[in-house]
Amino acid sequence: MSDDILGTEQVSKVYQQGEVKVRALQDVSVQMKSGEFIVIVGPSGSGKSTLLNILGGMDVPTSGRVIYAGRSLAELDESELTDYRRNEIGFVFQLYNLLSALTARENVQLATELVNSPLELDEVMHKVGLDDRMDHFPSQMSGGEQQRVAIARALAKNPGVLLCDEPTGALDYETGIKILGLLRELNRDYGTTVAIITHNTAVADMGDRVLRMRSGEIVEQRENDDPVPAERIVW
Amino acid sequence: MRSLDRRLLRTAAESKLQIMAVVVIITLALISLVVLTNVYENLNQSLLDYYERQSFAHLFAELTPQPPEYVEGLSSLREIEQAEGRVVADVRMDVGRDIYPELHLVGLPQDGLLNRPQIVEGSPPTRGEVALLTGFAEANGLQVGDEVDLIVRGEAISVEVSATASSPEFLYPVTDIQQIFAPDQKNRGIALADMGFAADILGKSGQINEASFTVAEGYSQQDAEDAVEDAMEGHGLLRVLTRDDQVSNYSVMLRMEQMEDLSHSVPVVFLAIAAVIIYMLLLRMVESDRPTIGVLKATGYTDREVLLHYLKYALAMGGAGAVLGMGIGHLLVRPVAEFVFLQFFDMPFLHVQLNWALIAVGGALTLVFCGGTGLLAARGVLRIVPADAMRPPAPPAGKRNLLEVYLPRLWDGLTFFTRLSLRQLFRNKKRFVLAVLGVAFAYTLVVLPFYLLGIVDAIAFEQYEEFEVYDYALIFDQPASESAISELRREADIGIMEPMIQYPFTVSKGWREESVPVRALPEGASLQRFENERGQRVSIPSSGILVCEYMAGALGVEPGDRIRMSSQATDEREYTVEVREVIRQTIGSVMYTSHETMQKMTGQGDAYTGALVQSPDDLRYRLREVGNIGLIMSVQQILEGFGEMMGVVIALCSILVILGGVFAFAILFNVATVGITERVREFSSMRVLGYDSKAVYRIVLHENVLATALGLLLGAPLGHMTIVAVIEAFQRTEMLYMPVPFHPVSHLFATALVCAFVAVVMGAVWFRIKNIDLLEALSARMT
Ligand SMILES: Nc1ncnc2c1ncn2[C@@H]1O[C@H](COP(=O)(O)OP(=O)(O)OP(=O)(O)O)[C@@H](O)[C@H]1O
Ligand SMILES: [Mg+2]
Repeated sequence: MSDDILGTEQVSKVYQQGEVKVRALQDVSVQMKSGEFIVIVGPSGSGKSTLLNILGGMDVPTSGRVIYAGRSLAELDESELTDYRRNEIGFVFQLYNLLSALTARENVQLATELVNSPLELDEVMHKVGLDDRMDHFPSQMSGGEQQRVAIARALAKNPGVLLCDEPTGALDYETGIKILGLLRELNRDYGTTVAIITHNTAVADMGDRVLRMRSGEIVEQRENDDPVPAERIVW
Repeated sequence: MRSLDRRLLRTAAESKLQIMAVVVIITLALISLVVLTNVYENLNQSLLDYYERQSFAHLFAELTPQPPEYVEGLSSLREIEQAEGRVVADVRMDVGRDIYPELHLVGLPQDGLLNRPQIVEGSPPTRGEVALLTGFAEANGLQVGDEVDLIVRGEAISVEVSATASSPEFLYPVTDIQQIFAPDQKNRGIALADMGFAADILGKSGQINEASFTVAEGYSQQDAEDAVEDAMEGHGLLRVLTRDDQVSNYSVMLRMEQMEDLSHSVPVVFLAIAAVIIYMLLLRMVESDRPTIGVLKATGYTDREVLLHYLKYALAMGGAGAVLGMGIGHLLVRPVAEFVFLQFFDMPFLHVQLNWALIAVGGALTLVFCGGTGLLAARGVLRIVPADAMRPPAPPAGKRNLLEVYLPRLWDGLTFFTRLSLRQLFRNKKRFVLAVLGVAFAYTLVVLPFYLLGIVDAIAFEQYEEFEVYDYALIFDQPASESAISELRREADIGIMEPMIQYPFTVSKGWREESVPVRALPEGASLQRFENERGQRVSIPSSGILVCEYMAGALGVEPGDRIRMSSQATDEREYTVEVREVIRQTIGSVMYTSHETMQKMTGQGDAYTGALVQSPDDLRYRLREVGNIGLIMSVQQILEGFGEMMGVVIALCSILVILGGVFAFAILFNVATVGITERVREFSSMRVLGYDSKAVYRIVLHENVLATALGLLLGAPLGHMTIVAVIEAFQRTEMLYMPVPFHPVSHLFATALVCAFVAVVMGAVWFRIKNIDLLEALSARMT
């Protein structure tokens, strides 16, 4: 399909741990269309993070290929792979992973300084609702605020794809809803392709497409013609 | 990378103490580099210029009295450029005190070319006048124009002080190697006089008894020495001395060498220590920044950028230290150079020229040490992958350790905490090895200055309290008979007096040849004792000879070997003598034999050149009027000189002990705290499980006690080997033969000091562990 932006072909990932082999992913093929909002669900240990890491160029598959805009990541050398992470991907971590020595603004600058055409810093901060928290250090912010900084950091690079590994995992219900709403809004306003991992099946309803994983395999792919807005999700 | 740089500054604030310590050490390194090198180079240049300008001779020959023309004729030798005769004698001077200071009188020819003194004040001495070396004049409050008496063979001769002066021959105002550490400017002086006048008052009118030479271009000192020996052997030559063996020059050069060695080693030692701390600092930073590094990489920062981020710490510290150090260093060069000049050398100060190339050297050294270790420590970031941002640091694989596998019985017998500590230790061998090495290194740093003290102590006190147990050594102007000596003894009411015969000899074995004084003592001599290399007492053998360690090495002889000996005193006849024992001797090189053996060689029976004396009285005072005594050497006085110097050495060593202690402490502290920081999360989990701080502390304590014990075991031989290497490389010459010391006390002190450091460090660790914030540790994912 012409508007495929990022996808995998028969990707497997095997972790060798001493004598034991752990098959984290098994022949996973998935395509993300440009501008899509994808939700990945599945039980713990089913390979969600592994898949996201491989998509984000942070880990390499044991076999199979990752295709971005028609090119296989396997063809990229180390510096091209870094460029890929730098320019094409935004990553949001479950535990925020902000740099404690830097303020909210500076954590975002950390990303904007890297790329040629970042989004306007103030605009992004406003978008995530942190205009008045710009000069706070992470230790002076709540978990939700920190996660919003992390999202701002990922988003400010103006990446083609935003990958979020359980962005609401550590947040309370209401804050989680707000974050999800924010991600959906960004997806709509900037046309950023978004993939989020969640444990929560209720969240699945808000995606354009839902991938269900079990034991390293995609066991179900479901198109969602009428995604539920975040604020109407209940769990 | 502005945000990253900002992070750099802010995180640096967390380690500001360590960073400051590193900067200070690097600053010291560069100060020492700039100051020591510049001072050394300038001193050396000034010295060479001065020698050149005053035509310091390359070769000195002691002769039986000869006409001056005899020496002048020697300038026709190819190897010799200039030759000049002179008159030298040891006399005394009445300066109005009860003791007559010894005076080394040098009569130089009018318009002489060699060894020209530089007049500081006054005019060159003519008949009836002397010029005094500044130090002696000042020590005795003598001024130009003063009248003093020379005491020559018991007679007083009135002279006027015409000038104070410096001389290339006596930059360091000593005439005998025994005084090398303790020049006594008050009781031993040097005077210059007109040659004719000096010869007259010494009763050697129209004659000379020494010659000095400069070497012609294209020939070495050795060539010239051989030529002079060939030409003069059997024609009145007593002894030849090269410039290298001339006592003042030897002392000056010894100090120069020491300074040069220091200028090379001190900055490197400082930098190495800084490097060790940087290494530990960065290693810890990278380890605890693992998730951050993952984030940076996931965000798109390249390996190079991340590496550079950490490298910048090292470079910034190095840069700050380098700029500070070189700045301060350059300001200090002139005052330090002037101080050293005035302190050590009786020589007009010449010039200071800064060596700007040092800035490049200093910069490069700092870059290599700081950048190199920075790179080494930070290269860990390369192993960290972006996905690490999402994973807690992988717990190191749990494994059964060696002890468990091979000695299960022993393992089962250990207490739970010991087992827990051992597991930790086996799991992180690198950290444990670092701790052991830290202790060993700290130990070496601390034990060295203690050793140094011990060595100086050994040199002086071993020689003069163990071996040369007489109070005075008398050297006669003319050989005296046994009856004359007995009479002297009776008259001066001296307790024990042992006559000796001492002449310079040429000693050879195969192709190896050395010049060395040989001293003959009575067989049952009690005033001088000997010890062989194994520490056993040895006495003067009736036949054969005792050879000191240095000469044994230089000639390649062992007990039982036979050596050939000849001397002007034997009319150059050669004798073969058996080496009986190799004996210990720290200052100077002398061989010992019996009266009988010596008399057989010289063919002279009842003629002694001096005597060793034991007497509680001040013989310098009592014997001051006795005619035939040229020199009275007081052991007491030498020891006092040493005592004074020991004060300086103790002060110096105390500084070294403190410095070594600071470094040792810094190393131990860092190793221990790195160990804690790495494990805060683990410890806090234990705390959450219900262990108290004490239990956690016990684990760390166990580890550190073990590391300290092993470190001390390793440090003892390491320290010993270091000092032995230093001694063997630098401190063994004909004049000074440093013993390889073994000082259990040094090791005891060092052990105690290191243990005390460890105790303080463990105290600090206790506070760190007690204050582990459970919440902070458990939410440590936030970096
Ligand atoms: N570095 C690794 N080494 C070995 N095995 C690993 C590693 N990382 C993940 N695994 C294994 O791969 C499998 C998939 O892990 P993954 O982290 O992708 O699961 P997940 O679906 O994200 O789980 P969760 O919802 O708990 O985050 C798991 O069985 C895990 O144990
Ligand atoms: Mg996961």
